[in-house]
Order: sequence, then C-alpha cells, then structure tokens
Amino acid sequence: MTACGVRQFAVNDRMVIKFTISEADQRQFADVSGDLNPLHLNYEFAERMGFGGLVVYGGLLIAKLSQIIGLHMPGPIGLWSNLRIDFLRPLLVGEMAQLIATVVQVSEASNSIVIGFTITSGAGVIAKGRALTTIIDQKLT
Amino acid sequence: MPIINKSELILELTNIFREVFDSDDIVLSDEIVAADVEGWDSLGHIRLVVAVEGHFSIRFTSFEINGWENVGAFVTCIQAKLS
Repeated sequence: MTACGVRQFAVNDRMVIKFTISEADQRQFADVSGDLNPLHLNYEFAERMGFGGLVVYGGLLIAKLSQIIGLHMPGPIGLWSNLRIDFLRPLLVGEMAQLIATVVQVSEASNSIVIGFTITSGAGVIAKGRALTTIIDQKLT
Repeated sequence: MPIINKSELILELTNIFREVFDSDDIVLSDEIVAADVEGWDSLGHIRLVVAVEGHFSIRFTSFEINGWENVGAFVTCIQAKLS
C-alpha cells in the first residue's frame, strides 16, 4: 500500500509483521529514552522479579506499530494523532512476536483511518489497542 | 443505533467530548463553539468527528464537518443522520 488518499483503505484491510527484539535494541531504546529500569536491561534482576528474561520495553512495541503507520497505514503523508494501548502480558527479549494491524474505521470526511492492532507471541496476546491516523493534504491550523 | 431524543444525544455527545478532549468539566449546549473547548483545534476536530462517526455508526461529509458553527448545528446534523 502507498499513501495516496483515505479511499484506498477499507475496513478489514490488514497488515502483519513479525519481529524479535534483541538486547541491542533494548540498549538503544534505553539510550534514547533514558529509561534504565533493570527489568529491561539486567537479566538477573528480571529473573528475580519473576520473569524468564528481559522484558521488552513497551515503547519498542509501539515503535513496531509506528513502522506500519509510517510506511503503510496510511504511509508518509499520515499524521498519527491518537493511540490507546493495553499491555496485557510481557514480551521477553528474543521471543518471536507478531503485530497484526487492521483498519477498523474509515472516515472519508476527516480523511482518517482507525487502526486496531494486536501484538501476540507464543504466550498469547501481549498488547492491543487502537490508533488514529489522518492523511494530511493541507496545512493544519 | 435507535433514534434518541436531543437531550439523550447531548448526553452521549458530552461523554464523547469529555473523552476526546480529556476533560470531565465539559458541559455542552447549543451555543458552545470550538473556542470554548480546550483542544478543539483542527486535529481535535478530526478526533471528535472520528469518535462520533464510530459511536453512532454514521458518516459525515467533508462539507458537513467544516460547516458546523456550533454544537447545536453539530447535534442537528447527527439527529438528521440518526432519524
């Protein structure tokens, strides 16, 4: 899909990406965000807290959604203006995950689409939510 | 969506406004305009339109969403689509 207008989208249009977050990804996110919570960076600490490994930053999960919004739904001329997300269980570093994004509402009047998304791993649903993106074809005031 | 009267509609619309603009203090009346609601700018208007379309399962036109001069006109438009 390329971005050329909201009419190219229809309810139930879907995109799927699979991904795995590495320790290097975690360190880069820690550098950018300043979030040095050891739950995400220190394996022994994470184990003591009852997790089987490093817990992936929620921000990195949102970053994967950003990939879909920024490149495909709706793409480079889209403006992401709203996000709701529930984190339901942790994703661990090295675990394979899948992000499914589905168009759940198309608003031609406002040139916008609402995307529902679910992130899953072998353990079940990691996160789910909704995002609103608008195709910008004029300067906003 | 069953037909609802104006007071019920304003009640539901108030809840949508409060959620979209993150303020429990919003009280709607026909005379309210965008300048009266913090955050009701062009992007806020888009969020509002999408929320209302989704809630009531209706669709506006771009002409309509650019033509409401106040909440009263907005409500009249919604009522026409629900009737």
